[in-house]
Amino acid sequence: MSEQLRLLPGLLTAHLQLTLAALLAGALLSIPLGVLVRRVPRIEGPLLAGVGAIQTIPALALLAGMVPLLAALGLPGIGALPAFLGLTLYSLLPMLRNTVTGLSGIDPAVIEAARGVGMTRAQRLRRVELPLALPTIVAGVRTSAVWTVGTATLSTPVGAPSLGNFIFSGLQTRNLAAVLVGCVSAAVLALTLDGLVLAVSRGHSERRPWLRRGGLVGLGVLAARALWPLLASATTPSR
Amino acid sequence: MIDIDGLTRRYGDTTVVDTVTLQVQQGELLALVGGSGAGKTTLLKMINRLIEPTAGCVRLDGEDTRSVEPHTLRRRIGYVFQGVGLFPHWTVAENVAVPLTLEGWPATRIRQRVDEVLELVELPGHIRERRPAELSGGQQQRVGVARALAASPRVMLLDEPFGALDPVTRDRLQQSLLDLKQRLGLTAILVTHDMTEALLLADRLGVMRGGRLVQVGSPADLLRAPADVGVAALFDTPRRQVRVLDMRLGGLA
Repeated sequence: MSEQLRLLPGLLTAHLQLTLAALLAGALLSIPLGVLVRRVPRIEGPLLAGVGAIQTIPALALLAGMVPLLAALGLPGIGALPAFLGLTLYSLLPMLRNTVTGLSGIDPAVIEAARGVGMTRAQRLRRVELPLALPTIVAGVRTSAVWTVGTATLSTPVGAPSLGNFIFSGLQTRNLAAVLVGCVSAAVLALTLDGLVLAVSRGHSERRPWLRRGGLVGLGVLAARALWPLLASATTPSR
Repeated sequence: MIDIDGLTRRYGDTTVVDTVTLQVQQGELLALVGGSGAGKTTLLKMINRLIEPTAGCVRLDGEDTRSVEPHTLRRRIGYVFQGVGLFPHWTVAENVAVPLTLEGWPATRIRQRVDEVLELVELPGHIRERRPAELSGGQQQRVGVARALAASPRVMLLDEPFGALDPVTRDRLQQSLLDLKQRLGLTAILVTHDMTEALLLADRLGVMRGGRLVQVGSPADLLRAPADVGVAALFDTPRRQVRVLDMRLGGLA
């Protein structure tokens, strides 16, 4: 057990790096796409069908499938890259679907009012449409976050260290304590991330600055935790 | 002041507004009346280009509205929406301030101006920080009027602003609007399906039917020389109301 706990910080950091990077990339891809769908309604059907189809692939198959795909493209097929790409693709659907739903659920009278008071299209999006869709978009981000944290345990077989290391090695060696550590820590991480995102969005929409700040600080700590090893290795000269 | 010239809007084969020509003078309140589907709201929305005309043009102070960017044009025109149209995620003060923040006013001047217009529409200062959902229907509509007045527009457009309110609140808001019109010399077009409201508020009435402007004139003009039986019939309801009230109250009023 103490052996498992000794490994925990390192694997937790690796898991966090993978999850946050994939979520960030997924959000940067899916939220703008969701906005675009509102502007160009005819792409909605094909886009949601395509992203939905990704979701029908079992997560393990999606991550594993990245390995030969990347190898065929001449890229490193084993390691963090296939895990990152697979997780990013997997995170798209909830955020995309909720962005589309959130934006299309806004009362048309409010949008007309925004036009009527003289907002440009960009002002309307930034000041009215996105803030009003925010609770729905955030719900999508939370779903994606929980999925990604869970699915990231499957990146161990494709060569990216994660909390899945505990689970896979524990199962192979019949070390149930290791399996338990992996499962519990992944679950705690998922709940933490979910709670922090919820705190930021609640604090924002209910105008409770302390809640919002607390959530942001928490997310900041997680991000720092993920970034620190990268920064440290970049700044210390290699021996 | 407002010069509407041959304004037309077609959707496919249907003509919703059919070559309407109409002038509104400085300081005048014109009411557009007519049944639903008469084209009143479409005509109103073409003035600030919420709906683009198929043909014809609108000039404000001699300037063709097509020569201005739509959002710039709309910032110069106060618009009060049917069903209020306040932004639910903003406070009263933020809602009223929208036209000013869009124009990039400094925060202190915005504060001052918001206080002024809230007072103008007789709203107590302590509701500044409330959200629209926490207000009564009448208060919401006053906020809507305050927002439309905030940037001191030369022209106001009102789309059935009091339609959803109870009679007592409606009466109070109508009085406030009349008062504001006198004090600020507002030039305004009011869309309403309520003939009594039109008679109470408007200097002139424009009667619309099937997208056409059937007749324009003061209430007395329309009463004295209605263009057709339809226009004459518009006076039936207010007349009957007066007669019944007079009979029931029998000189008490």
